[in-house]
Amino acid sequence: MRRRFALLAPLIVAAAACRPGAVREDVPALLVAPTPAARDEVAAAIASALRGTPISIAPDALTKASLLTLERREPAGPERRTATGRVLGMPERFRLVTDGSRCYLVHESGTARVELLRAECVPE
Amino acid sequence: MEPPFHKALRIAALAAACAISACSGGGVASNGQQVNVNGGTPAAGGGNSGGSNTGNAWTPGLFQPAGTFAAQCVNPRSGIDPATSLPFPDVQGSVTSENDWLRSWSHELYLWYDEIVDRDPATLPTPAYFDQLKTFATTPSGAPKDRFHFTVATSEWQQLSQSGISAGYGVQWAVLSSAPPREVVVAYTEPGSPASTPPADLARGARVLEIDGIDVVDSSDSTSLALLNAGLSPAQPGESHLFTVLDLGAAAPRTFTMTAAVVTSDPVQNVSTLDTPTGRIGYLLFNDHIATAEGELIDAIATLEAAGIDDLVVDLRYNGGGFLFIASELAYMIAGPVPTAGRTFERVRFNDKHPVTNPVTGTPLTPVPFIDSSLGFSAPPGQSLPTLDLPRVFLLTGPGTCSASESIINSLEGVDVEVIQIGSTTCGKPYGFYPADNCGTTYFSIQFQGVNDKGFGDYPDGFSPANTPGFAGAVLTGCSVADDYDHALGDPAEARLAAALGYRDNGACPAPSGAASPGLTKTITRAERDGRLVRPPWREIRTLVP
Repeated sequence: MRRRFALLAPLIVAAAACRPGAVREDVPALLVAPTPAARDEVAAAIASALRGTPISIAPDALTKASLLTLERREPAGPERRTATGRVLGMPERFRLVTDGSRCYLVHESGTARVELLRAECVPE
Repeated sequence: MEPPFHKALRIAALAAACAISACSGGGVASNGQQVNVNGGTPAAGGGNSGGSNTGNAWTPGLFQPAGTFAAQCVNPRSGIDPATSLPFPDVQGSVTSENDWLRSWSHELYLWYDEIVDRDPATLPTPAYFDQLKTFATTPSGAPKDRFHFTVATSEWQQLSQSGISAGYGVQWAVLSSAPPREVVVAYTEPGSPASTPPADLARGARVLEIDGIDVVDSSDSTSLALLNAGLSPAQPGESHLFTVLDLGAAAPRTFTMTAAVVTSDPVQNVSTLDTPTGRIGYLLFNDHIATAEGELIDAIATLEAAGIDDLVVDLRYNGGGFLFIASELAYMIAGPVPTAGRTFERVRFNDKHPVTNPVTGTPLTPVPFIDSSLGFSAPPGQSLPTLDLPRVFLLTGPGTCSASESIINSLEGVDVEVIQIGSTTCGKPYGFYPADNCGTTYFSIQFQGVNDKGFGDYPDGFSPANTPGFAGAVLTGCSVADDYDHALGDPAEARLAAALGYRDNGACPAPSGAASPGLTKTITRAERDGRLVRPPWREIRTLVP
């Protein structure tokens, strides 16, 4: 994100400065070539938003879609298989967004909004 | 403007958050009032705290609120509970106090609480006591009425995974014969997975002959079986095994190494149209009600709508359910707005103590409607859903068709959209639960039943096509057809799809071949042909037997 936006950033800042009171709006974003440190940061942000709930995410999470949903694992066992067969409610949802200069992970089904310092992202 | 159901959903989701997070030790009084989980007096360690109103001794038929006994544990947990961000509420208790909680909780919430034989909580270890807290009645097929009574370690249940990811090869194995001569075949693969890319390049119908040099077909010693099961279901990404398979139609087997990876499943596949002399037929394979399915289903239905299909075949044979609201969305997209307007997709019915209020969430028991706009599982929320406006639908089913998938069938029947069922009897699970934690164990005990707009929800032996041999569950129009691993899913020659196309043309079925109610299926035989699915590691059943 920072790399790709490096050239555009001054333009964006300048444009924003020309409009008194202008607020940069979040737009959905994708991670760009996330490093292990960036992936760890994303995982930590999610776990924190979920109060330490253990989570598993794919190495390419948020690189193809800005929305990341988390669901319960189906437990082992022939009868337990039905534990997740009729689920009322919604999954946990996280959205990667950018305001043009920074990346944030927003917990859509909660309240957390965490700036990602090690991740690079581009608008989706 | 936010659709009314979305607003209701937000409220319900907040209320349900506790429930799907495995509520800690809560309960309700018999009058339906919520009880403070810490409201009780801790039991004396090791003593019989009883289940009576006096709190001292067990008196049959008398129950204190479950909250009285919550979090009184043989082994109290310490630290922070991730479900609440608060310290674990556990205090020192006893086996009896844990059993007391189970006894009262079951009496308050179990769907068939009046069929539980009341037993002294001081007489059994907790796992054995929980096993007794259910009905032992049988269904018309002779199967146990309650086949869904189990526990999971709370630490396991609290784990969350990105929708659709698992460690594995990306293949769904089906065990057609679990004992020698054993037969394990590929049911389907995930696109882009180790299974569907070189060197494996597996496709439906491929038969596994050896794993790591061990004979799959005839091995019977326990060491070999353990190795075979481990090879079928790798525990970690990076784990490799040597496979020898016979591809469908191949004259000779081939051998390759397959390495497990983190695989993302594709819940909606093979969206296509078939042009016949009597019209254009849409087909889609829908394997899992996970969050990512919402967007894919919307895209699929929009594609089929644009193609101007005359009929639709939805392949649910491997779909074990998931998010109920996604099932509602699909049902709406099939039926359209006219038959579903103001109608109920599914109404949740608790035991007779709770006729108007959800006893777990405390919210009114409002029915789930046919949802006509996206909820935001994976598609942008609030978008009007495309519709096919079909008066009938062909559903391909098997014993793996379960829970939310059966709700699609039942809900459409409830608004007089004809369901033509092709395949085998479904699993028979019109029930659900709000799992609850107490002392580190999360308990699953049936608490509600889903019924359709007509109030029907009695299909404990599943749905069966009308010509099913042997015992049939709730009977639907259609044809009993065994699974056909000799053809690709979506191939017009595949037996179930071929039967759907044939029935559509002339109203006739092939000779019945599908399996009867799963309640009667004790062992898998080659003749049944439906097979048993081998799930990813944490879902795994150790399937191969001597």
